[in-house]
Amino acid sequence: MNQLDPRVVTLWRLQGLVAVFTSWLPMYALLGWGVGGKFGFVAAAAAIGGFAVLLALRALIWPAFQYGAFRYAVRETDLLVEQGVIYRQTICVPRDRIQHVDTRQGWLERLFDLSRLLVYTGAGLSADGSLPGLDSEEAVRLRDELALGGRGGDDGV
Amino acid sequence: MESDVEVPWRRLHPASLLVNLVPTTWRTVTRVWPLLVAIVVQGSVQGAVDLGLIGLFFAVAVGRTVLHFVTVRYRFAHGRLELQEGLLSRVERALDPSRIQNVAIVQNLFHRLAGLVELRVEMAGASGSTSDGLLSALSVEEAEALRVQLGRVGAHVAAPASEVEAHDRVGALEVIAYGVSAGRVGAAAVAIGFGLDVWNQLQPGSAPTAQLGKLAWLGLALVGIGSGYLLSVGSAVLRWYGARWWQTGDVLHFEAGLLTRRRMDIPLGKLQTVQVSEPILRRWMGYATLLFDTAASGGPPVPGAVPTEGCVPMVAREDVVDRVARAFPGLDTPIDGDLLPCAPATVRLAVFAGLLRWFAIAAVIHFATGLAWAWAALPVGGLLAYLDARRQGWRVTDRFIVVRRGFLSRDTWVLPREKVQSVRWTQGPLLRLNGLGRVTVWFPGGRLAIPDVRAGEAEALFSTLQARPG
Repeated sequence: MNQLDPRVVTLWRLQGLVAVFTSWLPMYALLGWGVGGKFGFVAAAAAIGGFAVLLALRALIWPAFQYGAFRYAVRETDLLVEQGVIYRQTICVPRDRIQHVDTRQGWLERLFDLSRLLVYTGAGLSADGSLPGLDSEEAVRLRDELALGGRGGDDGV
Repeated sequence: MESDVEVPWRRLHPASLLVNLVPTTWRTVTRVWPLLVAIVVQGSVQGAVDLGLIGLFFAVAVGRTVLHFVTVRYRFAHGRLELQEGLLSRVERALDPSRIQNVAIVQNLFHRLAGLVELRVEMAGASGSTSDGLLSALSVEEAEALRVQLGRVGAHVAAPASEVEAHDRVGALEVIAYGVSAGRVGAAAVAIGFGLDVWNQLQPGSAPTAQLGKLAWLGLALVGIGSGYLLSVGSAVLRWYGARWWQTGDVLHFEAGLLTRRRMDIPLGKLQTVQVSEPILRRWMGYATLLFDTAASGGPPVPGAVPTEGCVPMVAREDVVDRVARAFPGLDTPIDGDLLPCAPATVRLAVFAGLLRWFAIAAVIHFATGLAWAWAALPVGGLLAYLDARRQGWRVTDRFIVVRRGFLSRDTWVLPREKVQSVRWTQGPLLRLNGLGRVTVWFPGGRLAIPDVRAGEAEALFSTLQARPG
C-alpha cells in the first residue's frame, strides 16, 4: 500500500488553521457577542479564545494521524483506499467501473505542488475513491493510468 | 445506413400551450406559496396590490408556457434523440438510446382532453426532479413512434405481440387495500395539530384546545386516524388505479393512474435493484409492493418529483419470488426467508440506540406536556428496535446480493452483483468496541448496506465482493 505525499500533513494543517480563522472563529465571535451581554464579555471572550485554541490544536495535531491512517493501492483490477482514524473505511473501486478521473488543485495545494485525484463511477463521486495530497506529477500519472479502465467489461449502468 | 438528408427539427404539438398552462401555473404558484398564504391569512386579497401580484404570477406562467412551446425542438437523427430548449440560456442535448434507463409516457387530464401525451426519457444519474428528455405534448402516434425508435436503436425493441407476457393487473379493491396499508396517520395528525394551532392563534379568546375534554381528544385522534386513511386511499386510487405490468421480450412495462395515466418501459438490462416493500398491514393482507429501480433514480427521492422507477403496488406474497425472478432471470437465492442474520452484538446495539431515541422522545413529551404515560413508549420502542434488528437478513451469492430490513415496514432489496460500482468496509468506534464491521455496496442509483456482522466476517465479505461475479 502507498502513502500520500508527506507534504500533505502541512497542507492539511494550513487548511485547518485557515478554516478555524475564516469560518469557525468569526461564527463563535458573533455568538459570543450575542450572549456576552448576559454572561459578561470577558467570560465570553475567554470561552471563545479557549475554543479557538482547541480548534487550532486539533488542526495542528490531527493531520498527522490522518496521514498515518491513509493508504492506497492501484492494483491490476481495482483501486483500494484505506482511510479514517476513528471511523475507518476501506474502499474498493473496480477499474472497469471507473467512468472518469479528475485531478484538482486549489490555491493552497498549488503552493505545495500537490493535487487531488477524484474517481467517478456510475454511482457518482460520493461513492468512490478520492486521493488527496498526491504529488502533482504522480496525480497526473495515476489519472492517466486509471482512466484507461480495466478489462473493458460492462460498466453496469 | 445513415441518410445524408438533414433530419428536420420538430416542435411540440400546438395544443401544448393549453395542456401545459395549468401545470405550469401550479408550479409557479407552489414556488411562491408562503407569499400566497400570507396574503390569504391577512385577508387582504381584494387589495389592488395583491390582485396585481396574482396577475403577475399568472403572466409569468403564461410566458413560461409560450417560451417552452416556442423554444423546444427535437428530432431523432444520427442514431440519437436530440433536443434544444431555452432562449437566453440555451440547452442542446443529445441522448444516446443505448444509455437510456427508462422511457415513460404520461397522460394527465389535460393531455387526455387534447388527445396528447408527455414523453419522458431518463438517463443515468438524473436529478430526480426533472427528466433528461422531456417532451411535454406530443400526439399519441408521434410519442409511440419515438418510443419504438428509441427502443430499436437501444436494442430493447418491443417483441412481437405473441411474446407479450402479462404479469399482474391490480384490481380496484387491491388499490384500496394498498391505500389502507400505506396509512398516512402521521400526516393527518400533523395537519390537525397545525389547524388547531392556527385556530388558537387567530381566535385567542376561544381557544378550542383549552376546553377539550378527554373524550374530545379521543374523538380528535380518531378523526385524525380516519382522515389519514382516507387521504391515503384517495392518493392510492389517483396514483395506482388500473395498475398493471407486463413484459415484451427484454422490456418491462408498467402502467397506472386514474387522472394522470403513466406508462413506463424499462429494459431488463437497465434494472439495478428490485425492492420488495411489505408494511406490516400489507403483509398481513398477504401482499407486497415491488419497486424496480434503474440508474435514473439517482439518490434519495425528491418530494413532488416524477417517480423514475417502475412499481407494482400489490402483488400476492406467494408470487413475489416468481415476479422478482422475471426481472432477474437466474435468481439463485431465496429472498423470502432463509437469509443470514446479523451479529448478536448488532441487535444489542440497535436496542440500545432504540431505547436512547425513545428515552429522548418520552422525556421531551413528559416535560413539555406533563404526560407521564409518555414513558410507556420506552419499552415499546425497545421492543420494536429489537424486532427491527432481529428481522434483518442478508445473503451474497455468486450473482446476487439480498438484504432485508425492518419489522413494522419490511423491505427486501435484490441487487445483481454485476451492477456493483464500488465496495466499502467501515468500522466506527461503536462497531470496533463490539467487534463488528459494515460492508456497503454502491450501485448506479444508490447504495445498499449489508447488516452489521462480525468484523472478520465483514472483511471476508468485503474480499468476496471485490471479485467480479462470473
